[in-house]
Amino acid sequence: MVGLSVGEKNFIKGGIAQDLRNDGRKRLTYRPIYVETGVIPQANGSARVKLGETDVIASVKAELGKPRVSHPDQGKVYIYVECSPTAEPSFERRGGDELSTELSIALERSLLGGKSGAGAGINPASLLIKEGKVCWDLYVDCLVISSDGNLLDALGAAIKAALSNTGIPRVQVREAASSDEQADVDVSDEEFLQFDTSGVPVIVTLTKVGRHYIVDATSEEESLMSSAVSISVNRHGMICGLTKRGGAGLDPSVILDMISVAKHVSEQLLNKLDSEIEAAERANEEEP
Amino acid sequence: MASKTGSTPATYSPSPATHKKKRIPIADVDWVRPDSRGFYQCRPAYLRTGAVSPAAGSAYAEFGNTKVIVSVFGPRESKKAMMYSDTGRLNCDVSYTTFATPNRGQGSDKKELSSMLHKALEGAIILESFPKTCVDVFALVLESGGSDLPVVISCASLALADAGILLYDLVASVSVSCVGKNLVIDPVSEEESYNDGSLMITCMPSRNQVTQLIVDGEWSTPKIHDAMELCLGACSKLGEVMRSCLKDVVTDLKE
Amino acid sequence: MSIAMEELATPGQELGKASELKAGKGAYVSTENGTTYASLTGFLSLIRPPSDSVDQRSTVEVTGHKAHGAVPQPGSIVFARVTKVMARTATADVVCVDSKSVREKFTGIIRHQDVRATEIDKVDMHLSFRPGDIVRALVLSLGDARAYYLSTAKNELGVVSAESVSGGTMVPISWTEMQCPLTGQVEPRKVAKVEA
Repeated sequence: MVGLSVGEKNFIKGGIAQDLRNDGRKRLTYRPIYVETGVIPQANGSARVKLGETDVIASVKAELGKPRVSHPDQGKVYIYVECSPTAEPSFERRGGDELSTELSIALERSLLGGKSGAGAGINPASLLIKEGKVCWDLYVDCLVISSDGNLLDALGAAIKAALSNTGIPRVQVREAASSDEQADVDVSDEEFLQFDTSGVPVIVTLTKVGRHYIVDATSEEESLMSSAVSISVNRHGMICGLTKRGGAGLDPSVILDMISVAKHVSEQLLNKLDSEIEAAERANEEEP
Repeated sequence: MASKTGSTPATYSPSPATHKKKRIPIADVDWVRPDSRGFYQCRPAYLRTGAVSPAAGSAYAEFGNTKVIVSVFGPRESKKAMMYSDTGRLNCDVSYTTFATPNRGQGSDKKELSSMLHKALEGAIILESFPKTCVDVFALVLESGGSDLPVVISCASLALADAGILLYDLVASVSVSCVGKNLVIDPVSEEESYNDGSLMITCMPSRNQVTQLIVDGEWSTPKIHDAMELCLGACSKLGEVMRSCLKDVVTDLKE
Repeated sequence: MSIAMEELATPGQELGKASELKAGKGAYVSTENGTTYASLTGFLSLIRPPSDSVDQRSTVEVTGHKAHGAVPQPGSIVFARVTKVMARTATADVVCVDSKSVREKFTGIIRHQDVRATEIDKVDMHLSFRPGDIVRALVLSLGDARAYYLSTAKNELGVVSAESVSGGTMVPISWTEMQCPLTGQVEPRKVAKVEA
C-alpha cells in the first residue's frame, strides 16, 4: 500500500485537474511501453512488457487436451496470473491471491469473449484438432515482477505480445480404427503455426481521480482512485469486455463517455504496441 | 409488488420508450425465448424479506426458476483477526446448493461470485456507521435458473435493508445477453449458455449511479448504449418492486 | 419537537434538498447534489429547530422498524461483563451500548492505566475486578484489531454489580470495597458510584 500524506494527495489531485501529472504526462498519455518477446525458452511463446516501473511476463504453453462436452468444436484457454512477492511484500503467501484472481477474471473476460466464443481475442475454434476428441489447451500464465499501477493493461499487452510470439506445432490426425478410440495424433516438431493476433484486444483502464479520469495510473495515483473502468477494445473498435473496480458509483453517462475515450486511446495504444511487438520479433530473429 | 403469496406477482419491464427503439431483425422474428417471454420482458419477480429468523436481516428472491436466499449477520466483531480498520467492513459469500444445477454440484465459481457481490454492494453501504465491525452477507443459490448473480445482488441489498444497515440506496441488478443480433433481458440459463456476449449492471436506482458493470463478448458502442439503457430502465423498475416489498413488511407489522 | 408523519421511506428515497432539510438519524446528505436521502426503512419524522437557533432548517429522521444491532463507538457508555483479569489488563464482553443491548459479541479491554483517574501506578488489577463482574465503562477508542479500549477512570464508572465468593450480590461500602450481605465478607473492587 502506498502511504501518502494529505498534502501529497492534494498535489497529485491538483496536477490531474490541471492535466499535468507528477511524471509530466497528460491525463490520457501512457508511460513508455517496452516489449521483449521470446524470453522464456520452455514456453511456446512469451513476452515481457514494461510500462514504466510496472513489469510483467506472460508465457503461453500449449498442451493436447480434450474439448469440453458442451463445446466439442472448441479448444480451451486458461489464464492465470501470479503476483510474486518480489513485486510487493504484501503479495507474500496469500496476500496476492485476491488480486491474482481479480486480474485473471478480468483478463478472461476481456480475451475469451462470450459463452459461445463470439468476440474472443483468441478464437477457440482455431485450437481444435479433431472435433470432440483432441484440441489444444492453451495455458496463459502471467507473472507480475514489479508493480507500479495499471497491472491489467500491462498484462493485457503482455498476453498480446506473447501470443504473437507463439508457435503451435502442426498436428496430423491419424485415422483412428474405431470412433470411440482415443484419436492418434502426430505432433510435428518442425512445423509451427502462428496465431492470428489481430483480433486480440488491448485493455485500457481509466482511473477516476476526483472529477477527472486518467489512463495508465501509477500506484500512487491508483491509491487515490474512487473507481476504475477497464475496457478492452480490439482493432475494429469493438468493445470486448468491461470491468469496473472500486466501490464508488458512477453516473451512466460518465461510463458511456469513458467508453468513447477508451476507444480513442486504444487506437494509439494498439498501433504503438503493434510496432513494439514487431520490433521485438525482428530483434529476436536477428540475434541468433 | 404484492408480497402476499395469493396474488399474482407483478412483472417489471423497462419503459416502453426503450422498447420501440430497437428493431428486431426480420430473420429473427420467429425466434422464441425458452420461456416464451418477450425479448425485453423480465421474469416475474417475487421478493420477500425475513426469510431466515436468526439472521439480523434476510430476504428470499424468486425470479422464474432462479431461487436465492440471502441472510445478513452483524454488524459484529470481525471473525478473522484482520488488519485494524476504522470503517466497517463487508464480507460476502455466495454458495450454490448441490442440487441447484442440473448436474450435481456444478455451480459457478464461488470465489468469483463472492468478490463480485462484494464489489456491487460495498459502494451502497454507509460503512462509517459501524466502525471496526463487519457485516456478513451469506447468499445461497437454491436453484440456478439463469441470471444468478443479478438476483443474488438484488436480494442481498434487500436483506441489508431488512437488517437495518444504513444504505446510500438499494442496489438493483439486471443483466442482458446478446444472442445473435438480439438483446434479451434477464436471460435464463439456456440463453446464458449460448450467448454471444453479456452485460450486467448493478446500480443504485434513485441515486442514478452504477456500482458495478461487467461486459463480456464483442459489442459495438451503439449496442452497449442500448443494452445499458435497457438494463437501467429495468433496474429502476426492479428498485420500485424492492421498495414496495420493504414497505409492505412495515405496513403488515402495523396491522 | 417532532412531528411523526405517516409516511414510509426506504433507503435511497429522496427526502428533500439539503438547503431546506437537515439529515438526522437514518438519513444522509449527498455531497454531490446536495440532496437529503433516507438510509433506512421506516417512518419519517420532522424535528423543528428551536425558535432561537440560527439554523432554521428542520431535521428529518427515519425511525426504522428494525435497526441494526448496537455497535460500540468511542464515547459511548457500555456495560460489560468481565471475563478475564490479568496483571496489566482485564478483558470484558460488552453486553449493553448506551441503553441498547447488543446482539453480537464485542470484546473490550480495560488497561491498567485506565482503571481509575488517580494513583494510576498503584492500581492492582486483581483488587479492581473479578471475572463475572458487571462493569460500567466508557469506550475510549476502537482499540486494536481485537478489542475496544474501555476506561473506568471516572467516579460513576466501575463495578456496578458483583457476586461474592459465596454467591450473594454484594453491596458497595466504599470507593474500593464491596461487602457480601450473606457472610459479611469484604472484597476489593473499583466501585462505581451509581446514581439513584
